[in-house]
Amino acid sequence: MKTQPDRSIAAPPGEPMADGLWDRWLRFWFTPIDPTGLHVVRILAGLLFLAWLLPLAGHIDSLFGLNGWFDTAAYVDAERLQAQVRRNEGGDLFRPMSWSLLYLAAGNPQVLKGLYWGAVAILVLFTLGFWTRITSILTWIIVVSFTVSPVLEYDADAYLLFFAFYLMLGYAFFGQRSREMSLVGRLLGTRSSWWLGRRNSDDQHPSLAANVALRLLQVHFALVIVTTGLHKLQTGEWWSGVAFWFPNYPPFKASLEAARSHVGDRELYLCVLSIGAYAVLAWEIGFPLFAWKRGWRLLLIGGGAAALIGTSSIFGLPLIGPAMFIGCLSYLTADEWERIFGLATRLPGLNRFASEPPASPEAETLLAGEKEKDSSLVPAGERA
Amino acid sequence: MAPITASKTFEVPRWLLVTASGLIAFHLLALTVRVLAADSGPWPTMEGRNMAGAPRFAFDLYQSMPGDYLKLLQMTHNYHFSSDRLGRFGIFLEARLKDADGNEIARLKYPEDGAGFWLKHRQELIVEKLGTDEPVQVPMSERVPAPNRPVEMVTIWNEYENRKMRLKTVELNSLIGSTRPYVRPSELAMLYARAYARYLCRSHGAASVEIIRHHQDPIPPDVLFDDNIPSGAFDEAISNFGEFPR
Repeated sequence: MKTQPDRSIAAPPGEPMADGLWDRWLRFWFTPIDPTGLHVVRILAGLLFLAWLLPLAGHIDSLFGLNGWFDTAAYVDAERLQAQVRRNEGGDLFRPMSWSLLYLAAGNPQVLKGLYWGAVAILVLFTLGFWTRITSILTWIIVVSFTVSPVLEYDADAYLLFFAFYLMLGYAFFGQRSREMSLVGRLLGTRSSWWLGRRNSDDQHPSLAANVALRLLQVHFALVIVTTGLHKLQTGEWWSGVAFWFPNYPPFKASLEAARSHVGDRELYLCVLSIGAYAVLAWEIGFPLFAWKRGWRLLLIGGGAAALIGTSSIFGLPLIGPAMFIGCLSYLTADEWERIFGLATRLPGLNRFASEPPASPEAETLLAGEKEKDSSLVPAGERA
Repeated sequence: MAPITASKTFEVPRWLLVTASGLIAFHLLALTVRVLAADSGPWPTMEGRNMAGAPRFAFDLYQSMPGDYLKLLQMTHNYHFSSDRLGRFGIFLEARLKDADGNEIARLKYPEDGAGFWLKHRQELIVEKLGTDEPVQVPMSERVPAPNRPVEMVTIWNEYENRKMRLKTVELNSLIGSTRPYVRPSELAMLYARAYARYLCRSHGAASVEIIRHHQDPIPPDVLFDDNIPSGAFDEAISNFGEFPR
């Protein structure tokens, strides 16, 4: 007699795991997971949001105000031009402008300053994990509001927007399956999301919302990386492998003599540059092939680290490198994070941050038994 | 990790899984269609370098997406990043502020030399917007205006000295037959120039401001193979947007 496939998300131990397309889809998206990965991404993304906003503190009115670089008349002109381009060519000239909290300031510098510092405060609370149900939603609103101005449009904004959106989704629903949560917890969030959550605690439950949020972030990030890799192929400098030549000899800073300094070893020099350029293309275009594979973590994190260092130091582009690095880290599973924390706490001075062992020997036995039962669950980061 | 006990959490009903799956699939489809519905290029053509339109199926699908879905989520980017193009010219802005009598009261430079890394980068983003020039499409034959309508005019960059240009408004018909290509600032660049001029006048109490763009072409790697590079080949060029009143 043919055994019917088990349609539950997590098959009971001893039962064969169902392997149809629908079952794999369910396992990929809807397996509750240890939310450590979500908390780490929240902290790192929160620090990124603060790094994006804080350095501009002394220039709030000029950069974000309606009497600044891009004033009300400019917004009106921009909308008119955008409509004309849409009518004639069908596309968009820049990111469609829409709502923003900053419009509430209506050109008043004091109100704008209040909104700005309020935004910073909320980002700090969100980073630390306080009241994440609310602060995650406000964080998304803040990121959208402060990226609306066309004059400040920057590539990194695209990463900030979808990081904030998926973190909002994750924390809006985080822990809502719990039967024991109070009304306040359901509306504001609980202590289970403070900092890195309650690892090794009886209060920590696997989270479905964490998996959905991380998976959405992972898939979206992979789409972005592949797209930017393919887009690079629309330019001659990447095809010919000389893309890295230009940041080495930027206009106004490099002289012709400096640019000709490698005449003697030009073949070798250009060869090295082209290997670097093609390595970037291969990493980006092939990204989905290795991003979800545990055995390829060195390539994933190494590439992310190279982006972190390279885009900032070589290309002078802040935020993009850190955003790419955080995106790469989102693929790490909870047990990989535990291993990293374990290694980190061995460093001198950091051993006081080591996570506490389980509360009692009975809890240890129970945990060991449940870990065996849990082996049918597929952690986020594993290909389903 | 705490043991999983079914009594502590709600079971997710099947209808919710199906609904959530549908939403996720729709969301990912919307993102994919947005990426596909992007123009590509610029590619070399008979008329010079031009952008190519998106595949028709992707464009139609994107236009038919319900209720500006991605606009609501602020995820309308097509991930064709401008930073993917590395061989771009360098640019900085010079603003000459004048009082009501036309006397120069200040001369400013953006990005500011003394600005910190983060602020300088934001100022670079602001200044870059003035760098978008586009070719002028010169008609093949003379265009006769409709009765009681003016002759079609166009504002172009006119080189008055070596590597120095200023804006000049001419009749479009006067460009016919010329072999040299004509370039003009894009509508967007003019919009930003007017916006910057208003801001600088407001913030410095000036009656008008003259906006001047300084730009320099990137040095290509071909210089490693060419020993006969003419002097001044990569010198700075100056493009004067003109004077803007407050």
